[in-house]
Amino acid sequence: MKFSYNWLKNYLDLKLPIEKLVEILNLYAFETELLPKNKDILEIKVPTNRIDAYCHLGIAREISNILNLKLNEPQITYPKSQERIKNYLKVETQEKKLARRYSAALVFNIKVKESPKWLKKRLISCGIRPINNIVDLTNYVMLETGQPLHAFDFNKLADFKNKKTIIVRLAKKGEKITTLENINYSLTGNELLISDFEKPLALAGIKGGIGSEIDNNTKNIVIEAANFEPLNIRETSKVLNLKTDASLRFENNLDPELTIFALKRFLTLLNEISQPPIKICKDFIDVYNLKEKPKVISVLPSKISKIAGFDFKKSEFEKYLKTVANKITIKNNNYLVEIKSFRRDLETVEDVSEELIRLKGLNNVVSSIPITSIKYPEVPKIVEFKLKIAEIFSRDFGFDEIASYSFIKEEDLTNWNLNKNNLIKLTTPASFGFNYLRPNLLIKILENISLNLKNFNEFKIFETGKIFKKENNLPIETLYLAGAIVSKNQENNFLQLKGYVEKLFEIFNIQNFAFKNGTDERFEEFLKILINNKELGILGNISNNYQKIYDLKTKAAYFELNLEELVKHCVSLKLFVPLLKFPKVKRDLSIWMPQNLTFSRVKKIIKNSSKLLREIKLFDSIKIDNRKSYSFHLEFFDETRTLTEEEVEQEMAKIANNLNKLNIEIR
Amino acid sequence: MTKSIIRIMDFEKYQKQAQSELLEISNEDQLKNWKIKFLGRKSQLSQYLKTLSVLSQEEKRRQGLLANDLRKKLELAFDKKYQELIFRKKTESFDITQDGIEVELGHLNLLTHLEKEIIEIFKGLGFDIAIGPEIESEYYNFDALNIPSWHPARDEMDTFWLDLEKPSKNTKLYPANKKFLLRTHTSPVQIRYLKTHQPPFRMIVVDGKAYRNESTDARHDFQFTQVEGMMTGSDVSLANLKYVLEEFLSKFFETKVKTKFLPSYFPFVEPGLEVDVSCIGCFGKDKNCKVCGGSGWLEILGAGMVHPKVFKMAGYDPNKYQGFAFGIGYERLLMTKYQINDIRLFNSGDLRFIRQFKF
Repeated sequence: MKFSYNWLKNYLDLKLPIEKLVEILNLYAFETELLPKNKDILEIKVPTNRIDAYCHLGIAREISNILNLKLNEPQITYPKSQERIKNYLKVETQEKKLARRYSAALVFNIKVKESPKWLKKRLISCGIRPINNIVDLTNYVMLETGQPLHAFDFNKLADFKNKKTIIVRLAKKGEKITTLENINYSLTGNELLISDFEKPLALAGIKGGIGSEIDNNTKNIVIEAANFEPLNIRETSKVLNLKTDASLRFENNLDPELTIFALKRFLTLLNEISQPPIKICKDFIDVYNLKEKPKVISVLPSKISKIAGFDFKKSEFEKYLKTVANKITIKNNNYLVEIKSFRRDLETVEDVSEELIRLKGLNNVVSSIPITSIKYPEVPKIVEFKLKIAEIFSRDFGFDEIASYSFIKEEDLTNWNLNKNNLIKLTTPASFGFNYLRPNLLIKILENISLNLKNFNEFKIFETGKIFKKENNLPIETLYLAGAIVSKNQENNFLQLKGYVEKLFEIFNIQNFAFKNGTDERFEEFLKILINNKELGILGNISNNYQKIYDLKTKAAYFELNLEELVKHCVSLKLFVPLLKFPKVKRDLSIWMPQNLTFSRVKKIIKNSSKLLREIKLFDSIKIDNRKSYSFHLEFFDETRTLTEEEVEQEMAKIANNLNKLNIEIR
Repeated sequence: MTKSIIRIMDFEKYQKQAQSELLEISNEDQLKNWKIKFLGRKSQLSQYLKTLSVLSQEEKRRQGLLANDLRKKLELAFDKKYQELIFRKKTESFDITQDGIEVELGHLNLLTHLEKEIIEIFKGLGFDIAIGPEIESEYYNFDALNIPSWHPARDEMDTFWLDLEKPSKNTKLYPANKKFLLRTHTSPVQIRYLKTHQPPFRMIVVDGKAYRNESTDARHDFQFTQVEGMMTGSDVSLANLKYVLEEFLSKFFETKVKTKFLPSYFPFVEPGLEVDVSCIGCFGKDKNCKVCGGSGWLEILGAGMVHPKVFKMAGYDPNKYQGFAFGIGYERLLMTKYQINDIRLFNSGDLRFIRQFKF
């Protein structure tokens, strides 16, 4: 919100340079910036709870409290005619809760023309376009006092029994109104309208309508200063997508006490800039439907000190308290503070503490060590698990950890054949057309591979993050780990990645895992990762189709694991196995694989052939003319004795025998 | 046993053979085998010396001298060859001024690295670690944080609402009849924690992805990461907040920093503060500092004293408990510390960015 430094000087004897004022406002009140190349305009972020400071008078009041300067309230003097407003105008508020207060003034014989220079300049500096003297003055008074005003052409209001009547009512369903910008709105019935007997005149608290506006021929004007219920204004403004300076103020719960003061200021200024013979009605219409009782807050100085961590001097304490109080009663060192009506934000002692600590200066807070009991902190297992996995993959396995957005795009749905019913959609899409929450990490990993292939030929990446699904209309989010190896060698990619997964299980002592062959159109070679027969992940080579879709010029293997399930299977207990006292006997074994058998089957046959065979490790594989050969290191040992050569030869014979039965040839 | 069994050894032939084989040798292993063959315990020479005892005294001495002479010659040849091999190994096989063989490292993402640091620092200060869901109910994200449906702060949060029906009854995570959204901050976890823990306590919220529907630029992204902190008790004060923040920030920036409290507004704290940290680039001494723009201070986080309505909503008597809360953006911290100029790099997954940071 923009404020003019020179304008503020109307109310304060400000001597300090504007830069200094900016600094002081930042330290003691609101975030403030000086507009570049400007020595007059301050951009102040007034928080929404401080509606009292949405105006120059409010900011001046704040500065006067901080700097201990006298506040010069603006003058109110204007000539009153003998005319009484109620002889000409009647106001009827049908919605007493929504129209908390409706005040109006009536002026005859005005002349609509251009505003004087000083007025136009001030409006422009605060970002408001000058229109004519009447409209400009309503805006000026709003910027000064915070109270939005609206001017109607009195003669355009419909007559009823020789009187004009303003009715504050709810819109009828389907009723239409055209605003001053010539935009038509069709109303739902929840909007508050200002109308006469024939037509709607304005969207209450938001915008004037066509039909009663001030024009160059306007002679007589009604000035409205009202106070509307904030939620209704906010709702209407949102539904119609119409935010105005007025709606902004009403929806933040403007002080209803302001209306008459604002009208008087308007009339004072109107009189100043007008020539005779204007005629101002001597009184106002003032329908005050919802007069509030002043709030009283009980403030114990000790409570304020407890919050701040420092003590106030009594004199200071009382001085600051007075800035928000109409009246203070002290009972047993307890201050009963009747709060000024414009301080809409103050409801509790904590709110008051903010005021006092702020005025005293937040820089008076001095760091102090909290005194607490010792207790070892709680850390959720999954947090430690996730970090440990990230460490293992990056530090031990040499993967780079990526991070990505939690969203996917509409086109991903068709590319990946995703069922909308299981996905969670955003009501309004994010940037880049992201409009669903990701149901897996695969899509993001592939996007990432595609991106990084521009700069790198081979890499290993991983990510941990949530994936999102809809089940029985409820959202389910699950923490996943996914990774990929990207290189030209498809077999290596797959087997290395499988090796990393196996090593991960070894580190966390996860025993009951298995890989199960399967098919998945997204992958060429594909395995399911099972733990205790439950599917916790997948491993596969990206299919040619998806390689094409993501424009990958090289092969990639991918895996993912459900970390929330995996963590349940980790065994932290690790036990020492006594070192072997007797030598191991080592043999090598090379075989030719028949077509109809899998590696894992053959390995199992070898393993099961001998009880003394304790380790079996593949160390070489070659392919000659469609024939595949595997070579293993075999280790035989017994914890209790040394094996003899003969024994091991017997075991080797058993193995050969079992292999022969299956027509497996030993090289 | 008769003398005729002994065969006089042909020393010359032995020496020739040894020397010609030595010439062929190109590595240490071969040299070792050569030594075993010609000088070892089982070598012909050693074996021959063992049989000398059956010879006459004079013949024994003669053969002994010849044999020892040969041994010395061969040992000398061995030493020479050995020196030659070592020398060649040192000078000819490679150029030691070459670059070392590059070690390929994996890289932890900067966000994860920071998460580790944050957990370590706050665990050290005795703070519990808490987490919560990224899909939140408007109840936890707004209502319980003193942001009822009409509150203007809801508009300012640029919420991603989710196209999901409101739950018809209370579930384990979500209350009935409240809309779903992507959390706009990590503060809802404060409420979840308050409902399951009895003050006094101190805690931080990690794994803090949060989302706001705003357009992106170098300083803004619609997905970001927060750490949230809260400490409550009977007299936890702003002064304590200052201590905790200064401890944390000094550890993080690896230099002693000061903080400055400025007034600010968040509906769930009162008083609300913006906390600036003394510039780590110039320590307030450079008017042209690139890090702080010359102000000497960096805008780093929001904080305040937990609003009494928040305590009340969570079922506690605000007259009994008070405490502070703060929220810090990971990206803001990292951008400040490492002078990163675009927030969007964090979620880009660009390895050129990720690989720059080694720890």
